[in-house]
Amino acid sequence: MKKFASILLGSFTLLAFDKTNAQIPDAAQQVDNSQQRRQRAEDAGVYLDGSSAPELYPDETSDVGPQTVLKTKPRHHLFEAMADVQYMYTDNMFLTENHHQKADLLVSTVEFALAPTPYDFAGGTLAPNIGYEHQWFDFGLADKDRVNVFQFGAGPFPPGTVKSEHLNIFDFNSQTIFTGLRWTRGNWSADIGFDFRRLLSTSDYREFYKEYVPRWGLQRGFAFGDRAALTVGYAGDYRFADPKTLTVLLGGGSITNQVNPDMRDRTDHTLFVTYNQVLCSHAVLQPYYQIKYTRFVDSAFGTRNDLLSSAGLALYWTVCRNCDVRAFVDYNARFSNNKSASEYRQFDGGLGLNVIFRF
Amino acid sequence: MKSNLFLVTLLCACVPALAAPLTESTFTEIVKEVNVVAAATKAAQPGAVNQVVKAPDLVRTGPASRAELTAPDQTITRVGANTVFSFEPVGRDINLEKGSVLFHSPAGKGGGSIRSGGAAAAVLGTTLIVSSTGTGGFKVILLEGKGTVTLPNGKSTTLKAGQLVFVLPRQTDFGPVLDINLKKLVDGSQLVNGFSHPLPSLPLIRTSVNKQYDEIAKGHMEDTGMPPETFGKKSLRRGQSANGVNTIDNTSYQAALSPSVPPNQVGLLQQGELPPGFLPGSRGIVVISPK
Repeated sequence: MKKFASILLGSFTLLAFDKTNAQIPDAAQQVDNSQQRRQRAEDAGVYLDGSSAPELYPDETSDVGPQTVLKTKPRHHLFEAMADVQYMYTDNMFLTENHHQKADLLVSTVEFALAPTPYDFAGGTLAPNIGYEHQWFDFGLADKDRVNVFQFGAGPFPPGTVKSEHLNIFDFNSQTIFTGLRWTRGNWSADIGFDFRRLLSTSDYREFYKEYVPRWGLQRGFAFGDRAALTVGYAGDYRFADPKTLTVLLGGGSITNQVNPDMRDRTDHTLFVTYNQVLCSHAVLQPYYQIKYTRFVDSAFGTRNDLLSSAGLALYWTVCRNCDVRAFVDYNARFSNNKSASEYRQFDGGLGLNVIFRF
Repeated sequence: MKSNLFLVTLLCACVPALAAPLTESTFTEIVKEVNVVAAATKAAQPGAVNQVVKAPDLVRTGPASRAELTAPDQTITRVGANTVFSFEPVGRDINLEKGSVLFHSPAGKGGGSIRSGGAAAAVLGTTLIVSSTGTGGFKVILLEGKGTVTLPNGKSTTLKAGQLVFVLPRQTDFGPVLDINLKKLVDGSQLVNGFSHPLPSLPLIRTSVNKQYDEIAKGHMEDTGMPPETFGKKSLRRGQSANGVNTIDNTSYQAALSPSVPPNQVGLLQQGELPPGFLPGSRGIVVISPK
């Protein structure tokens, strides 16, 4: 069924009533006990660094002692280095409507950024960053399944061949240069940024796709006591996409096939809701829900609007200040009003390790 | 105006199964005007060193006065100026009507409770200062160790050394928990330094002071909970979920891993043509779906 309008309506209704979900940076900030206390202190306004706690009665201080309030200052840093690895199982590696291919997948990420401590700005804080991220997507490390593939060739005839290959023929990696600004005030934060990303095959580091992505977002956090918080927000982007055009040579002539028109320009608009529940001083449970609307502005197959609905649950365990581990499950369902696009269901679940240093 | 019906409880460490009652203590030091008011006769007599104060007699201090009392189990109660307090007849409770007290109970001795009007505060194996307005205002400062302060309405907050929490008169909720400069407090506190001999727990207090000062010197203080950035980075990074396949935009992902082509349409690909509506991505390689 491609009744996009009804799906859109249904999904937004689900979003409105779903209380169990989603994701965002500052949500955890809301639930951190000490941060909450400090936030309350800051909200009080008068208890600033160097000021004094209220004297309950005259001359209290002479016996008890002076009570000069300290304000916790985050350690200033300029750079951020991050490494992340997640190993997961997915039941639909190719995101197909039918004939799902199961696979294990290792996603490895390294990132280095100039990300100085946020500055005070316009009644809030402004956090700029600029950096580089590299990701590797490696399939079938534990699974020895082989699949039949068709590989386009540059000709001459035949322009391609059918082969039996291991899943790792699909390994690829992503290079991203990113820059952004986040302005935070109270429970609100707004983002703008720009990414340049290109995808390369891992076997020969041949580029097959690149995109230029201006992005923007707005979010708000709601704290529920000291141990829970909900964050709702919107994230949008426009992708100036530039997929590699496959050229097929037939006989003596050349045919340039526009085989990938829907990899071209598009715009995404995501609504998300994340719930963070602190289980103990080291663990946070984070269910989320997000819905992403994608409008393809350059589709060769007529109007195309996709709706990706995602729900998941993650359990984060903080090992130390710089390291945490996590377990997660996610379920994705994509709908489209264009019959050329696959409407898929996909599940994944796995474990992850994250290490981050700021200096 | 007796509106001070707060029950503030500071609990630390484990409660010994059996603890000796704290119903009396001996004056070990007296500065200026300190009187003992007999509960039965209401007659006030000047206190004296080595005098035993028993429940329910009152200890009342005058302006710029203070006293130290030591219990048989070495629990120490230091009393500030303009303070009125007494030992409860049972248990290990001190009734603080107004003023300020420093209370230290050695670890494993059963701690004690500090009451204010109809309320009480209890501590085990740590050192704290409690001050009371006598009209419902209440303040707790932890000098060493950790603890949780709980109000009778169930609200509670956790304190560590160098933190302070208060309840203002006529209010039923905590004010903010504040980090205070512990060194300044200790150096300027008569309850800590206004006596001829040091507190037994002074080394522990100094350790807390040094730890806090180290953090001040570094330009930051240690968070007791999870740092906010720990979860921020991975939950939503640049507009996308960072777990699972959603680590990357799903359409970009399909540039690398396009949907499969049916076996009966492979022939078209081999002839340089594309099956109708087929989107093979931009990788140049597509999987052939099983028959």
